[in-house]
Amino acid sequence: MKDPPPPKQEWALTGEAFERLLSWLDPDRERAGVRYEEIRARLIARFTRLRCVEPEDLANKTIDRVAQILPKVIDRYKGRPEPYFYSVAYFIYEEYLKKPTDLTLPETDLPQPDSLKSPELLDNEELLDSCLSKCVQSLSGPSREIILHYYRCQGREKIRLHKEMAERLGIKLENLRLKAQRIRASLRGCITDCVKSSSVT
Amino acid sequence: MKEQLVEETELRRYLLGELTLEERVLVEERMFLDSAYMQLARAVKDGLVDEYAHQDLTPAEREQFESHFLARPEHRDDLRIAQALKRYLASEAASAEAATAPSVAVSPAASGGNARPFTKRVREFLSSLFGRRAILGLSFAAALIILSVITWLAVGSWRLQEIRPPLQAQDPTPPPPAQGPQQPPESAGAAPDNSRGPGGGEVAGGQDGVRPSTTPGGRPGGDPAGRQGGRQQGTPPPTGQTPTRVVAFVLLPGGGVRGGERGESVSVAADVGTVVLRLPLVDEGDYSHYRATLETRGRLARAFDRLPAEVDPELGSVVQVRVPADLLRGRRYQVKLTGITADGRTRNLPSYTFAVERR
Repeated sequence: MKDPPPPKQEWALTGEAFERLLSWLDPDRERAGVRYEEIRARLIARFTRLRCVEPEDLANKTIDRVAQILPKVIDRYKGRPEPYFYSVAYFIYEEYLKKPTDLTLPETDLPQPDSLKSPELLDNEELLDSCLSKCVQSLSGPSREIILHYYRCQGREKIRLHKEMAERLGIKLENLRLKAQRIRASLRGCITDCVKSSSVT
Repeated sequence: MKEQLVEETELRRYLLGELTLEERVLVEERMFLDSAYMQLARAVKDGLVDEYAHQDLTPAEREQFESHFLARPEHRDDLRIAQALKRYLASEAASAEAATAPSVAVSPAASGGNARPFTKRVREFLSSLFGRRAILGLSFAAALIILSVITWLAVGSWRLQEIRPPLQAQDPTPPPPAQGPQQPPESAGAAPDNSRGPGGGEVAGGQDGVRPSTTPGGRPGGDPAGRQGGRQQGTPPPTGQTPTRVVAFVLLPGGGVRGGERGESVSVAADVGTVVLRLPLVDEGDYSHYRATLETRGRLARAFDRLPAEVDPELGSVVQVRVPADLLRGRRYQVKLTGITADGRTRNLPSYTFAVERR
């Protein structure tokens, strides 16, 4: 009988990794320090604005992850360092939205989507259909109308229909799309919760 | 507007994995720093997923979508939700379509199997008007309601006429005894259900097409064929009168007919106006109503919606479908039954096949 696999060790920022990160920011250590502080402050400000519970913690996780994957990407990435931090921060934020208390470190060299590994709950078609139906019914009347009409058609018919809907609601086409997207996002959340609770029970 | 198109194109390329590493980082940076852009990205993603689900992507995009976009587990969930939404909307549309079919079927303008396209055209027309001018749209809605009321009254009148004749008939001979569903329905000129069970009163059996004329111009009332713009060729009434008799058959799931003379076919005489198909339910799920489609040679002949389940003492739960006899030719038919729950979910139930024999 095989031994169970050893527990996955969490990556920790070492002195060597931190020095490499600073060197990447600027060969001059003092200027690198200033840039580092600027990036961290901006990350905290942005996570705060996004109403994250622990913005400092998320900023630190972002920096740690950049430091972790830097050896693999430093030769390939030719752009400025700052955008790379915010790019990684985007994925940290996405993870936060899904699993706010249990962030995982990436397995790949870039902020790869595969780092967001989670069981695919929605592969039970019957359960998914049932939950979708419940969630659509639970929407408010206007939201339900929008979701049922907005996604009804495809192709040219879709464009015509969306224009008519926007005119009828007295809003711009772009705003209608964002409205539909928001409703769909809430529908997705409802479906995920429904599937999870149904899977547990 | 132009700027947004550029942004959308870039986001689409990003989602399909067509950007360089540096371009990708810039898109992700902007998504993090700009909430509006992040939401736009989500909307573009939803659109892309829908296009894939509806097979609207080019082959190259489709390949990129499958190899790159679907690599993320949450994107696969997005696709599953899009597909579920597509199924849901399709079933909603089918229900709405079928719900309008019976009322249109009794309209002379809709005879000849054009009911569905006609209702679709009307709905699109109203929809387009409503989208442009609210008052005009409301006027049409009001007109539609009035039209519906008139149609409803007409249907009610027709049903009353269909019920009344047996009650008013002065038949010197005593009515035949109550017969079960296995009794040949056309024997002794009696319909099988005219003296028992739910809906028995609707069956105008025993009158053999001698229903009095109740409409100006001499057209007998209660004639389903007459209200659909005339009979079809090949089913002439025997004495120049409009066929009115109602006969019933029990169809067995998977094939077989109870009530037919040969046990496997529905025998329809020239004087029959309505054929009632009784469908015993095998799957008694929690359905609020049922939808039946009558198909022949792979084509839809008629859809019947909002059908309730009724309890038959012998058969248990049954769904009853009233088919105008002139719709039936001497060929094989299939009735496909769909159960519809209160929350709109649908399930295909076992189908029923039968052959029609015209006499």
